[in-house]
Amino acid sequence: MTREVRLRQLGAVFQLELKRTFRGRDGAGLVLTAAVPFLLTAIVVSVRGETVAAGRIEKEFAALFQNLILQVTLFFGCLFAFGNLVRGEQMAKTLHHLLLAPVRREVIVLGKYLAALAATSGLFGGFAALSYLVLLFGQGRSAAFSQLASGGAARLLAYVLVTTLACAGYGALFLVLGLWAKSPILPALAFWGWEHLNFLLPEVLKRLGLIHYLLSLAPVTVPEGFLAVIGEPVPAWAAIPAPLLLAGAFLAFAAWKARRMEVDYGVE
Amino acid sequence: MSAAPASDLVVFDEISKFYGEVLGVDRVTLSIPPGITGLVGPNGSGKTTLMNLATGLIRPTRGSVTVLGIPPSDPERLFAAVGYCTAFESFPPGATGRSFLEGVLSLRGEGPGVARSRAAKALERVGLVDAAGRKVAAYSKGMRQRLRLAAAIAHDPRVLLLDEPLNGLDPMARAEVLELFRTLAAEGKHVVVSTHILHEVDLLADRVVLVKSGYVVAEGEAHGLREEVAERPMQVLVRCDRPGFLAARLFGDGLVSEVELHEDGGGLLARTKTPDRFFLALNEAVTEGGLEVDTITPADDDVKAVYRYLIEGGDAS
Repeated sequence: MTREVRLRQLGAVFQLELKRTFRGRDGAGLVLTAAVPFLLTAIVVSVRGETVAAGRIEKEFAALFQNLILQVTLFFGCLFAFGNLVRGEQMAKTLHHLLLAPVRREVIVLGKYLAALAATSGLFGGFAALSYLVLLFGQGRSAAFSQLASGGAARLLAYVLVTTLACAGYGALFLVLGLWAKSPILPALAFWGWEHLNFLLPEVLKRLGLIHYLLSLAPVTVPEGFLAVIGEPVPAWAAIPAPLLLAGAFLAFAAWKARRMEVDYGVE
Repeated sequence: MSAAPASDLVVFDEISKFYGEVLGVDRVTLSIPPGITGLVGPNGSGKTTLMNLATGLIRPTRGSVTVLGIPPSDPERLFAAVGYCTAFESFPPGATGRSFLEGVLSLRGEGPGVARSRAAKALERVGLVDAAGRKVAAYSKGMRQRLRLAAAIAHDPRVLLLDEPLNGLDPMARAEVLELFRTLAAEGKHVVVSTHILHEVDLLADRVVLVKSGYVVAEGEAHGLREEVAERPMQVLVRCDRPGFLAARLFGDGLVSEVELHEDGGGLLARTKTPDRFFLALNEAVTEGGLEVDTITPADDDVKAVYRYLIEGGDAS
């Protein structure tokens, strides 16, 4: 089989998965989850009549990004989207349609992962960017453009980058959980607790949490409270590849699991 | 069973499959040459397990299987040569018959133009052209069966594995599909058909493999089954909108010895000793009477006769 054919197959899996991701109530739920921060921001801006200093807006968004987007909506949105990539098809009894095609299972896993990554990073990155812009433009057009010109645009791009890296890392982990665990929600909740309490951990243990690398890349730091153990942020040259390496390792494991996977909707 | 090389056979070699402690199949050794082979056995005997093992949907506990010399661990080569019409009912939500088939073909790496034309050809072969644009969710059981068949043959495979392929088909569709199987077999393809219906074996197979409780208990040529089948009454389940009309018509033609109308008024169970004439009359009743038929399924589960024939050389009755 030629490389060109494999690429076409990868594209076909990607397209089919992308359609599946956005179909029906599940798709609407994912979009709504991603839109929550944007809706909250829009409400806050519309009811807040006062002009707010640029610095305060940056801190408000940083808090929203860290506490709501990264640690809640994106985390659970990715759990839903990636955890159901294979498990959802098993439950819907449609997985065999993919496995009866002359496609390597590694290609199926990669195509599904890339589709979910495109969907989640587009949705969560897009709505994060919209939330940031709504906060800025709540102060008027000229103030917003001025803020964007003086570093706001770079910060916006940084947030979108962090979102994409978060989707890549969490997504690969949840893909594996969906393949490996009968109920991925329990190990995912345990991992969520670990990530959520990362600020309390000593520096050595902080480095075992993905959130530590993601927050190191966030352009604005948010105070983590008086209980927090302050650690050195990871430099960008390490913080950017770390989630990608993690994703690569999990994807390799997922491909191995997929090669051994059985379709068994019930014994004949 | 055959002296053909492994590259032209479906070979099960001492294969076993256990689902936990539940036996799927045990120590099955089998070589299937080109032509139509009936895999016969009651529900739960291991027919689907064998087909799933051959296609890699499940992995053997021990032993091995190759299709034309290709192991299931090589899906790129395997599914270029194999089409599998499963008994799984589910389709991707929201798909139409056409979009489902085009999706299946796009997974094969076909470009959109080739996928479209191959899908159209397959839909035509199974008689689903008119319904191609409708949602699969609105299809009858027989239409979904035909769509699964279309997906299995759309890439012109050398080996066709068909799990209960006549389930739910109306008489006309059954006749067309049987003819399609014969055509494919005449082209030198392997057509492996699983069924628990004796009459279907008679209609279809050149060879019969009898599976029971996870074991292959007998195998042999199928031609002698005809007499065996001819002497045995057959039960047929029909789900339709006017079972009373149908029952009267079939009794009037003297083709049924007994009819049992379903309490919900949505079908009947008929008993006939002349299945060929029965299906012909059923076909006429459906077309002339304008009946809305949902399901036509043989309701027999009579494998004992096949077993007796295969084991006792065709003398039993």
